[in-house]
Amino acid sequence: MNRFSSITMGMKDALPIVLGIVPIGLAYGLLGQQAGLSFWVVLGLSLFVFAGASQFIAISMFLGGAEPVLIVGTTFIVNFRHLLMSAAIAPRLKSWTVRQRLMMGSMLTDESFAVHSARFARNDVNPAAAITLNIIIYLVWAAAGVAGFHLGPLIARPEAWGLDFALPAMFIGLLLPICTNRPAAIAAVCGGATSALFHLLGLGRWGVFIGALVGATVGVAIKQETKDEETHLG
Amino acid sequence: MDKTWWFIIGGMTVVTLLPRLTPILLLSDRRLPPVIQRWLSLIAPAILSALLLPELFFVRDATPVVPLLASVPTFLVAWWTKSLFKTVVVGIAAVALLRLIGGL
Repeated sequence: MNRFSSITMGMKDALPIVLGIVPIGLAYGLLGQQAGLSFWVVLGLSLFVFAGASQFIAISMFLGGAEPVLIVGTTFIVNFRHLLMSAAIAPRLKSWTVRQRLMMGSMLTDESFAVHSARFARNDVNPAAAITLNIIIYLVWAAAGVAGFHLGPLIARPEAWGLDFALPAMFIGLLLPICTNRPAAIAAVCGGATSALFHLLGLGRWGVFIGALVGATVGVAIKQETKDEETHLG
Repeated sequence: MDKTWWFIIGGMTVVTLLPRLTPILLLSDRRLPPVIQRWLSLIAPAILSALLLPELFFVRDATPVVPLLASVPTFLVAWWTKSLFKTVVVGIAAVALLRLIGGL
């Protein structure tokens, strides 16, 4: 595949994510403006932190009078799940240069991880397509925040258009194709159930991280057991 | 106020970059034991499901059942067509339609 068609593919893959993050970015910019933050702080959070949920949480904690250290600590907890995503992607980047790995890691998000995993599962490890997608998401996220800051009050509620369901729908569309074998399906069921349980217990911030640990571990154990059975029967 | 915010942004930048970059930079060139490789390959289904399920069941807005109901046609389209684009379009349309019917 040549460079041009790789970049085109990255742009095509970015489309469902763009659809989902634009309304969230607009809402983020509006929140920042209404919270009395300066334009540069609103943009700076998007450019340096680049983590949707944490940006919302930081602004609402700040409004609640939280200490800066507490805001940074919460961000660490909320974003700790990226440790697992980064580790899961790492074995696929053997042929990549250090610069390409930096571009992948520093711009890693839940949404891009979902798309990258789906592509890696098809043994497509093309760096140009993956990095193009990362850069598009990065720029669109920053631009949507800026637009929300300036135009926020003029924008009608995105919920009325169902756009708030774009990201959950995308996760459904990316999750099903990678659940084709039994361990993966079991990992998904256990991961989802654990995360839901943590939300019920009011520990939602840890749900995704612990859910992933539990899901993957149960999945590996099941696979091991199936193998033992086969050996035993054989 | 801006000075406090740039301190916060600096801290947030460090704590978001560390978990994103460290595993990729440390593990990409290493040969991992097969069990760890299998475990890492199951992180994607486990974590995507962990992100998705709370979104479907615990919604803060005025229409708590809408995402759950809309997920049914979305799952079906994802299953049958295997097209990400169609899945997202059907999901969005289902939510918009349900809210229209519900008058929300």
